[in-house]
Amino acid sequence: MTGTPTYAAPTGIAEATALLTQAQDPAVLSGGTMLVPEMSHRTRRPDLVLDLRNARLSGVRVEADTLTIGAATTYRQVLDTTLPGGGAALAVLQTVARGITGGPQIRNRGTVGGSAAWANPSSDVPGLLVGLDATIRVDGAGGHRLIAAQDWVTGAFRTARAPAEILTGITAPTRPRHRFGYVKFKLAESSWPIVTATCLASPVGNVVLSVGGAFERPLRLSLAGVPADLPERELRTLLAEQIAAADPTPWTDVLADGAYRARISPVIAARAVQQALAKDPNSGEEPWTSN
Amino acid sequence: MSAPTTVRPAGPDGIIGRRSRKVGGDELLTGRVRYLDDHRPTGTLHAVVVRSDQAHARIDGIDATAARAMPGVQLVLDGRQAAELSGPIPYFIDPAARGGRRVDIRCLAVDTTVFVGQPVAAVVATTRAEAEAAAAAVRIRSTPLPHVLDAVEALRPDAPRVYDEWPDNVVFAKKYGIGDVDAALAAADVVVTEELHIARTTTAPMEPRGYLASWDPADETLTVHAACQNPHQMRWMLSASLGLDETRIRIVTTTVGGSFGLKMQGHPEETLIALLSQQLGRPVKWVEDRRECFMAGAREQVHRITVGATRDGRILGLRNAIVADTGALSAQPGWAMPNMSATTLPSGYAVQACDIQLQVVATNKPSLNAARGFGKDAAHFVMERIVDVLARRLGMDPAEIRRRNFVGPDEMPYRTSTGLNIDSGDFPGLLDKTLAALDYDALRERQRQARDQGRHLGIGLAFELTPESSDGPGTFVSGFDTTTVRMSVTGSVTVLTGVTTPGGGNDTGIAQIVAQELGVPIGTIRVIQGDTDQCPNGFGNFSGRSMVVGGGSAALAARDVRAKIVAVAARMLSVDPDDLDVDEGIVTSRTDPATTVPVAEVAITLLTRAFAIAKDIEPVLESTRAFMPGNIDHTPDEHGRIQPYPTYSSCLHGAVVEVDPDTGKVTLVDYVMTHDCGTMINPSLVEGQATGAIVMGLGTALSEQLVFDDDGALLSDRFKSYLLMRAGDLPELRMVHQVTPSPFTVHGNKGAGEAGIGGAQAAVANAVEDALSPFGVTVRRIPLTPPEVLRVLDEAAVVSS
Repeated sequence: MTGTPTYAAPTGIAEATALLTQAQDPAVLSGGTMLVPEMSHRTRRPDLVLDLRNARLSGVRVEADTLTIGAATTYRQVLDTTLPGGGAALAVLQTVARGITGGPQIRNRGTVGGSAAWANPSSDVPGLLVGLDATIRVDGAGGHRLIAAQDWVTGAFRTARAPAEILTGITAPTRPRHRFGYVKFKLAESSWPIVTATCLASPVGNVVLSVGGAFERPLRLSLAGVPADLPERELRTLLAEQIAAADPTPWTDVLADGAYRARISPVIAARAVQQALAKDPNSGEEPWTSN
Repeated sequence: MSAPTTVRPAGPDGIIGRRSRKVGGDELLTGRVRYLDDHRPTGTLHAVVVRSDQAHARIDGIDATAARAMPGVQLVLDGRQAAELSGPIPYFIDPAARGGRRVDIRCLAVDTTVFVGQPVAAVVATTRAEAEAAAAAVRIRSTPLPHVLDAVEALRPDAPRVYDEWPDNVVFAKKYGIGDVDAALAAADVVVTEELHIARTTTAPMEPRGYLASWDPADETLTVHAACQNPHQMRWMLSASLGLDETRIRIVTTTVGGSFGLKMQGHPEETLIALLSQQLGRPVKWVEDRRECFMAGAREQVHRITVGATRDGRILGLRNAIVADTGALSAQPGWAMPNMSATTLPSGYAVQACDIQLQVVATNKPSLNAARGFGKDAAHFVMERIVDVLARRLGMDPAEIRRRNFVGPDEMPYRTSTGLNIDSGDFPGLLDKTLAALDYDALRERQRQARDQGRHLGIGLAFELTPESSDGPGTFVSGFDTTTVRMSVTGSVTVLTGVTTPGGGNDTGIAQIVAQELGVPIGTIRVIQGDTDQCPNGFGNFSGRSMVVGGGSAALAARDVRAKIVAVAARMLSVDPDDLDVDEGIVTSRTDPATTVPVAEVAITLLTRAFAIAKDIEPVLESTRAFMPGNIDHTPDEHGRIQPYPTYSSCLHGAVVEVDPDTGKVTLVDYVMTHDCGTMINPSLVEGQATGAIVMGLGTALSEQLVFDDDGALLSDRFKSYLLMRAGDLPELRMVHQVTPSPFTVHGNKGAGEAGIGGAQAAVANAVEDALSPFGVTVRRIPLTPPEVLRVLDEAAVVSS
């Protein structure tokens, strides 16, 4: 489309989904850190820009061992959250938010839901959500759907969301007794993440981890009963075998090719596992408080 | 930055050498300065350039029908139309005048495009958004032609020709250096050869280029506001390309947000925007967008280098074949940079047998643009790399091998094999200071301990010699410049200078020089730069020249005005002129300090009571002087060598890195640079420049590179794909000063601002190789991105197995 897009900032989901249904090529605007540059570069020319700013979708809540992240919650809001009971899930989310590249401006604008919906393989959030075993809610004119994080990203920059649906919220188990590790590997400070690894370890060493950045879709891995003193080389071998068995589609962009990303994935994943396991589960502290 | 170890105060009160605050710094910090885009005269129209999407193609037609009908569109101009209205753009440095090949450079491509991004048409509209929308609607019909994107491939006999009429793709080829290299290598105990690759990078200033052209149809004059470095050259170029008398053109240089060579003149948009304004009779502005800015290439070279040395590490001879990828030709001086890579070898080492063969090769990529270092950087990357390779082969410490080969302080001035005449320097002194700052012996011990723990620390040293303040005979690369110092009736001082500032602060340095030489408070001085209607004929900013020749000419002019003030004051005070001092705006008798008169009173006396007080003194408080530094010699010697540089700054870098062999990530742990640019006019500004140059070198060593796809389209066109260094990537950059004054400049100062890039590249590369020496690696390419470091490790593993 060549004209100026229509702009709307509805106050409710019903109104928003109705507008989306009527549009030919709508774009949902959350923080705008990706959409606005794309539009400036004329690589994205939507006929409707649907801004979520008035839709009351931001904020973090904890209810009964479930962490709920509003779709339009900014990284800044995540960092400012002081909720008790957020468990390892909130702690790792805050770790991610702290490491978002681009300075205060990006942390003030960028949102967790926006990043999930953009589904750039080289970004933190898609992999994080898989590691958290999160659930993603989308709303459309016909009602809402709940999608498991593992099924959310369907390919590079593609998700299970239909064009007339809106990502409205994310939930994840808080994991109050788990320890976590989060390792992000970048080429330089200004780089997109090349490989990320999110690890949640139960008190008995059952480990769930995700690898982001390396493949078109984040990869979920699990290891049972990993001893904290497992040598790094053995851990790497275990992880490399699991990654190979999953046969993921490598992700290549101008910063790094798929072979490089795949090669360092077990290294980064092992570091996340070690980071998680290094935290003493019997220290008396909440296991997720130190990082 | 740590405090400098030595600053030579020049003059009794040391205004020169003082860390004076940057002129206009408060305006910069509070956002009150006006950059090019802040100039918005009423009725300004906005231009957008339509660019080729083909690496090499014949233009069959340009359809602008839809674009012309779009809202706000005032004009769409294509290459054929532009060629009827304007002539070729003259080269800043014409390759044909140097024995190379040229093509006519037009502001818009006429029949053929030779790189993706080449200007093909221009759209002018009421707003930038309208112009962008219309530009997207311009249809270029073209037939693709074969293209070549790599300089080595472009040298093959069957390679596609970038320019059909040429027999091959070589723009320029030349041999440099004297001495019997065959004999030197035959006599050597050890000979090492490496092929070293430097990736294409760019300068990426905060402010991209931009021009605002205002043609006044009533008096037929053209005023161009420009984010540029060389306003007088631009006036000449526009005069030539537009067929206008130079007196009808005024260039006003706006506050510039960084240049680094990018904003030297010869860009097609300079002529284009002026032409568009002429056609429309209204102001037309074009501001380069960031993706356009990333097209400006630099530094892409391959060096096959051989050195031979004695068993005890003395280098006897050097051979180097350079293939430089200049992309498509441009009128900008960038194509000439590799020339300086050749000339700067063998740097500050006493190697009298050199054979350096340079080929500058055209490819279907965007043009090489002048970039800080101007090719000298590559000489240092290559020389410092091969010196380390040699040291490793001989089992010598890299510090010691450098010491054994340096030109000694007692050998200055020293004529190099390529003909440069190094004015002064103390290279072993730089080495000692760097080693002391690193605590070198302790650091080596720390490295051994780290290795025992499985960690890979590396230490890299690199020397750098920076010829500065160049003069190219018959070009507008001038080794002199001109300044007017003018005192008003109230004693305030206007300094009009031919040099311009890219933002680095030479206006502050010039004000310091005038304050000291004239004897007035710095606050009474206003420096005006970059306005061709106000400033004397000059050459702007490049080659670390601004303080050498801008400052030097300001000093000479200020001394003239001071002499006039003293002569008049002597009459007023009835004392001998030789008895008078001028300082901080007061003329004082040395023998009777109570006898004083303010400079302002002298000024008003001369200018209002000339006939009463000083009938025989011409009542002009103004002087225009040019400074021509010594040491430039354009009379070819018996080998045909000329000597185009008055001063040679030098520095010695020490980098400490830690390398993660599992990911290839290089982390900078410590960094020291000992820097010698002779007398420092303002150490803070020198440090600011040097810091920026080091960071540019570190970025090009570790993360920056321009990447093209197979069709010649630039992929790394954003700051998320072209990775500049950020603060978090850097350790504290420690700087130590050494001051070896130049005998050939007014204050003993040498060029400052370019030194840092090649040395930083080499120091990091040497440090990475040192860190990974247990694996037996050889570093041959920069940038050393993590994937490249793993590739280097794999290569070593294959070799060792």
